[in-house]
Amino acid sequence: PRLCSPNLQLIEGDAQQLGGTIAFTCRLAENVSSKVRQLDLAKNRLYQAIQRADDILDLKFCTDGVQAALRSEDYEQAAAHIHRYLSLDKSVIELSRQGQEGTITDANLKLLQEAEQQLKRIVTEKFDAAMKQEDLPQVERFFKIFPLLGLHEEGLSNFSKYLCKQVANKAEENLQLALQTDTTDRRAAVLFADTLTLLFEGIARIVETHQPIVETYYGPGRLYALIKHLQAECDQQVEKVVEKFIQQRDYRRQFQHVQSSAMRSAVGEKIEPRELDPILTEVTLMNARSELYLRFIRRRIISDFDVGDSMASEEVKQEHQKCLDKLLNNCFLSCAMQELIGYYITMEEYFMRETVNKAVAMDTCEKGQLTSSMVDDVFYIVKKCIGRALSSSSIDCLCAMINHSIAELESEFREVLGNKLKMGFPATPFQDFQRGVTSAVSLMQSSLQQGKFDPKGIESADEAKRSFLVTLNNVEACSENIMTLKKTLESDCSELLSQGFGGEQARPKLDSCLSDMAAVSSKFRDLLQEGLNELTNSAVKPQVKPWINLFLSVSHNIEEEEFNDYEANDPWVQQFILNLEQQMVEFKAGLSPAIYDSLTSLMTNLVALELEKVVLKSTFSRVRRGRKLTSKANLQARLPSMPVLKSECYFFAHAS
Amino acid sequence: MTSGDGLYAAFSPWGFGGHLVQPLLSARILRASRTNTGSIVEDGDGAPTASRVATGKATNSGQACSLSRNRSGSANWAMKGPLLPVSRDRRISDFPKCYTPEACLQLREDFHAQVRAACQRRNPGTVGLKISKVVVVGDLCVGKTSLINRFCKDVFDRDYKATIGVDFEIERFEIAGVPYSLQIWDTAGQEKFKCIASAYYRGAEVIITVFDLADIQTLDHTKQWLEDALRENHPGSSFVFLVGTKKDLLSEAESERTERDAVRLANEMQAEYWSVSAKTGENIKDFFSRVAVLAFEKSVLMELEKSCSRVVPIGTGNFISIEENVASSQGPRPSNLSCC
Repeated sequence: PRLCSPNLQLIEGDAQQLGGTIAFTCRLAENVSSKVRQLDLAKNRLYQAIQRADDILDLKFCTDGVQAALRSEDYEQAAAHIHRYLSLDKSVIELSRQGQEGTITDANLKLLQEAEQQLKRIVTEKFDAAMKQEDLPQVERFFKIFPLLGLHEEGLSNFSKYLCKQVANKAEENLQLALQTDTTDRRAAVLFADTLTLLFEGIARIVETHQPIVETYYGPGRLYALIKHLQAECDQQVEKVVEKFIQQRDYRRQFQHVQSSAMRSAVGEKIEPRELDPILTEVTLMNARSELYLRFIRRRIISDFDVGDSMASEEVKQEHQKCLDKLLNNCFLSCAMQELIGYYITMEEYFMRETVNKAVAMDTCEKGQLTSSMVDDVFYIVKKCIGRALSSSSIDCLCAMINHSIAELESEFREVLGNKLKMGFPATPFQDFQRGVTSAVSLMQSSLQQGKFDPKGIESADEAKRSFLVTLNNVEACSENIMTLKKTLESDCSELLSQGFGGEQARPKLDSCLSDMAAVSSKFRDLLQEGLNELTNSAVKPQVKPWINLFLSVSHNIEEEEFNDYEANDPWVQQFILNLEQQMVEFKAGLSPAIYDSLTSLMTNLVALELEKVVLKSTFSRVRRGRKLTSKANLQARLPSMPVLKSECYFFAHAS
Repeated sequence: MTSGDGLYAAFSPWGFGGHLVQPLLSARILRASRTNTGSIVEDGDGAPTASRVATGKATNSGQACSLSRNRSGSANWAMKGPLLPVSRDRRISDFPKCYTPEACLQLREDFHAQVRAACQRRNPGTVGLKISKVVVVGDLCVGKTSLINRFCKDVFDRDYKATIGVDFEIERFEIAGVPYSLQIWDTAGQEKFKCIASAYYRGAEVIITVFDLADIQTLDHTKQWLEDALRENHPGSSFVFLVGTKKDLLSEAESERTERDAVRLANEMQAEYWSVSAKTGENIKDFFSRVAVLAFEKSVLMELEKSCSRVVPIGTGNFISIEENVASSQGPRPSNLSCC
């Protein structure tokens, strides 16, 4: 420990010295940093001072510059100076007025304000003059100056005035041209749709051309204001075209004529549906063009807003969206088209109903065809009508037409088919032979007693039978066709929707209408079922029953040798199978495979049921079990020739 | 590239028919958007926009479409969307009361016993996802859209905006634990748009005829509106409601007077009467709950009835099995037995 003590003293001294050094450094650092802070502050102040000085200089410079520029008619330069002045900090101007040279600044400011007013006046005047002379470069020149003077709204409205004038002139010209077009012209039938298209294309082109200028000189988010003005002009021009359309095509009178013809108790001449064809096409075309145009405008404005509102609050965005919706939904164009489409739907429905009625009246069935012409025709018509509604690009119109088509199919057309089925399947001559009725006279009588069909002998009975079977096929085809139509529509519509047509609710709207189609399809299935039941009851059952009853007349109380004999040559089952096959041959030829399968299955059930009853009634010898089995096995072996799995299953299950 | 040059130039030698022309025009517009100066964020070839819109729609409509009627059992293409839980205020467990017993469709104060039982069983076959169609009709400016917007979006817009064509909302409920939806079709009241609106009347389970309590004329017109709507539907297949709107505009005495007339008319129309205000929201929720529950009960009852008397499809009939029959027929015929 003694050795250490002098060292410790040394350390203490060193430590004190170090402490002193550190304290000194610290003080020094603080001093320096406070100096730096002061310097920084001074620098900032200096900058501000320079800025202000610059501003004041600018102000002066502007004042001089404006005068010079105005004198030399360099309005761009003058506007740039004014713009500089307008973007100066107002507090700077206030401050400089308080300074020693306040009076000079005041004078300068006054000069500037005067210059501003003067420039505004000049620019407006020059713009108007350029507009009158339709001098596009000059118009654009002054259009670019407006925003520099803070006159964005005025600039846009003045410019759009110019553009509207262009639109109006062109539209006027086009309409005149259209009205002079010869009726034999290739496009004569869609003349007004074409005129509208030209109008829309003109506006689209204007938007296309001038959007960059507006965006560059007015900033994004201003397109809405421009288009709003343009839309007003567009509406006016559309009004003229639509008015001419209604007048020339006699649209309203045609509509009234359709309305009166559509009344069930309509007297007088009904309007021929075919006459409506061209006008319906033209209206949908007009609407399609409008939708396309509106979609174009909507997209343009939305994307412009998107850029302009990228920093804006949610509320501003919603407000803009609302303005846009209001502009596009409430413009005259939308309303006029909606009105035209409203008439169109009534007329299209009439067209469909009348043509369907015609197809039903002209129904023919070629020999060897399973279905008659009516089904193909009706679905061709329905598809055409819905297709036309689809081509209008209006979801509401399409849904309305789908609804009308469903209603037409579900009520009227189904009723037509249902009524045919209600006439029933006539008793066959074969069956009457069995009952011992041979003469045509008694056949007529029996038919009359049944009261089921108009008896004109065997031929008309055959006719009625064929008609019943064809109707069954028709019902099935309808059910299938509706589902096919639904599928086609689904894919067509998703195409339309993916292009962005229709509002946000377009898809659920369509889904709702399309799902109704499935319901109607199943209604046709129900009808088919009813028809099949009727067929089994009236045609199969009365014949099968006596055949099966014959089973009772065969003795089953048999000995061994008879049994063997039976096995080789069954007295009942072979005849029965022959009869059945004969009976079914007729149906196999006349029914579609699917219906025939259903019928066979119904028939097999019936046979099984009846056979069971009979078997239970019979008396059997001790070989009865084997005998029964062979009978069934025989039946079973033959039945697969009629393609029914059900029957096999049934017999297997019960053969035990 | 200058955008103006020939992009929208009149192309008169068009092919005939809209199908040919439309893609051409739209292609032009899309192309036009591509040639734009580039500062606009519109998607280049239009496809991304389209797909974005489409996917947005799919998820949006997913919930709606999975509820859509699917009687045929065919898969709906928009059924994939996730099914969001029904919001709390759309869960109805108590039977909603009527507005006035003088004109109401159902005096019962609780669910039909059969319906209650079916709901408790939660048998998906009988009580599955259901949807009913509601059609709202009435004169222009009586507040059909406001009525629906107050209920579906809980908003009220003072500005009058005429409905064009038809508007459409799907509102989901959970009634006695069973999911249920109302598909509300809001039609245009203006005469000139009637043609298009009337195409949507068919298959309506509920018809809501709306009139303005402050405008007695609109009440007179409801009869005509109802007649038009009923013409498109099977008789007796729809519930009818008569709704007086803008109750907030009337004093107590005034509204009582109008209500007396309305109740009389409602009885003539076999409708249930309600007075509401979309502005204040008075009775709106109660009214729609009532609509939903009545429609729900009816559809459940119909479903139950159908499952009882369902047509037996081909080949699935119940046949007497041979074993049973042998056993039962052995009794009366002992002689047969003895011979073996």
